[in-house]
Amino acid sequence: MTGCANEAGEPDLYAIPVLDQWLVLSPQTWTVAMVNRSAVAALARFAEGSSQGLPNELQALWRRLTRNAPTLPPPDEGPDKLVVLQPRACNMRCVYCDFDAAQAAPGILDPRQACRLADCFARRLRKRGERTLRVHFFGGEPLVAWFCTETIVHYVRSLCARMDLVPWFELTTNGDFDPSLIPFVGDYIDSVVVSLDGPESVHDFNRRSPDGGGTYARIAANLHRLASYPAHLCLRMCVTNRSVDAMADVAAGFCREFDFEVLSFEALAENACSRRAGLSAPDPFAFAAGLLRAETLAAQEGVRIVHGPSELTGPRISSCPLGRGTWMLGPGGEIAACYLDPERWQARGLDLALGRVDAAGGVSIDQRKADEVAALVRAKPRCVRCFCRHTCAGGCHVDQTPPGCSPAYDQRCLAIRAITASRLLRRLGDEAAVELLAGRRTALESIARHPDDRLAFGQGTP
Amino acid sequence: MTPPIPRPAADLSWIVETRGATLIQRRHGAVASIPYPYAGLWALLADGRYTRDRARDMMSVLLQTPPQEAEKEIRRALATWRKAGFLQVE
Ligand code: SF4
Repeated sequence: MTGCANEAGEPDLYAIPVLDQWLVLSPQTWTVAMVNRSAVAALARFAEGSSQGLPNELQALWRRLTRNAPTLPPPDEGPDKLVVLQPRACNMRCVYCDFDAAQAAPGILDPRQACRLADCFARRLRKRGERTLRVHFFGGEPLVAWFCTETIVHYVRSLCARMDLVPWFELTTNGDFDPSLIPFVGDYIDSVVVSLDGPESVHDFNRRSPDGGGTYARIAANLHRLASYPAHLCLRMCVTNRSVDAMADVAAGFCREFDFEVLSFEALAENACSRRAGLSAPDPFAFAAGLLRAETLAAQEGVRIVHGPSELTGPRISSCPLGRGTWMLGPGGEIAACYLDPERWQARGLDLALGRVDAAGGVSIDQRKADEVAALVRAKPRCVRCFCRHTCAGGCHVDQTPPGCSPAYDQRCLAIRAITASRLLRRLGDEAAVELLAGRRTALESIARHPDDRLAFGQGTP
Repeated sequence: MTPPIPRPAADLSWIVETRGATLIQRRHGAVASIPYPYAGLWALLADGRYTRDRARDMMSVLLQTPPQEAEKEIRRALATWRKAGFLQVE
């Protein structure tokens, strides 16, 4: 076998039933083809090592599928970005939020701690010969403590000027902030991610002020103001059982009303708070169909639809920050590999704390723990047979594929698999097939529920 | 008496750049580049959110000096900018 072998020495090639054909994929070389049943069977026999040769017409495809692939990046190359998680508190009270922002101690970070971590990060980047220092502000709501966010931004820009690096800032915000902050956000942040859950009535049910009132009007006004600044705008919609059937309409409405570049869909991760509000995770096939329809509409307006684990980027070892070496800095100066509340990972038996930083003292990272985290993302038994293993690569390693998780695909896997396969068809230029899939639940299901996609293993199963 | 709040001169506009800010006077075109860390102070003035305490706290972090030292640096920078005609005083 040339190139493209997985860790067991088997061909890293996959085949998935799509309508009445098979989609054959090498996720390492990004070779994709649609073939019929007898062709996929011949390819599978050959991959299994059959002495029977491959028909002439399949040999060129086989060569493309198995040419030498780039190797996966090692997970321990060092931090890819710095995420500042402060404060944990928030000025909104979304009905599905389990961050418990209302109870969160104000816990505002001493900006000097972030600056010391940025110093250390910058030195590592220079050592690796990299040029871009990426900082992502996340909360709670980072603009509740805008003075801390602003100080860090200007310190990092100053640091980058000294060290000949290029700063890049991302801000994830609820969008309900004082308009006097618009010039700072618009001029100094490169990418602004604003949560908007749909039209006003849907959004205002989900995302509320502490007094229970809606927030859509204020956020929309801020989005209109931000449109005249250079910041790149991304809208993020949390999709629930109530909004899933409206995804395409929401995308069309947002495109009409706002000037933005990216619309990111995230399926609600159910929790006790969301259940109390009568909200549950969307049906995975309705979610996939909604996303595909929205993608068709948004493309006409120049807007890109994003669904993190279903992006055709890779090969990668993780689509979540865990395992990409991201440093998450909490309000007390603690550094972790994950942004979720420590109780969430501890409940899964995980210890994702990496170290801490002091304003005066400096940074201490426990390398042994960083290595353990890197090993964790390599061990995902559920994903071994899945064609998304180098793109989704396990999704959330705390909630979706924690150690000891069931080998069966969960609801999120079903959506990711259906969307990824459809996007591969789109990449092949087969829009008609994508449209057909979006309208035919059973076809999406047969893709998503295919038990084993490995070319050499799964092809007896239609 | 509270000290006057410094603001950019009326005939001045500015461009935010990765390494600082470039100031442009209507009649003369680009007149100055303000590099970091002082570009952080300029941002506070330009965005209309300058207060003495805020400037001191932020510049103390950017300059990595105690607050009193930062205040001295701020006074020096403001005096230079005022002399160059970049600031108006209300
Ligand atoms: S099995 Fe699920 S988590 Fe693993 S790669 Fe496939 S879709 Fe992602």
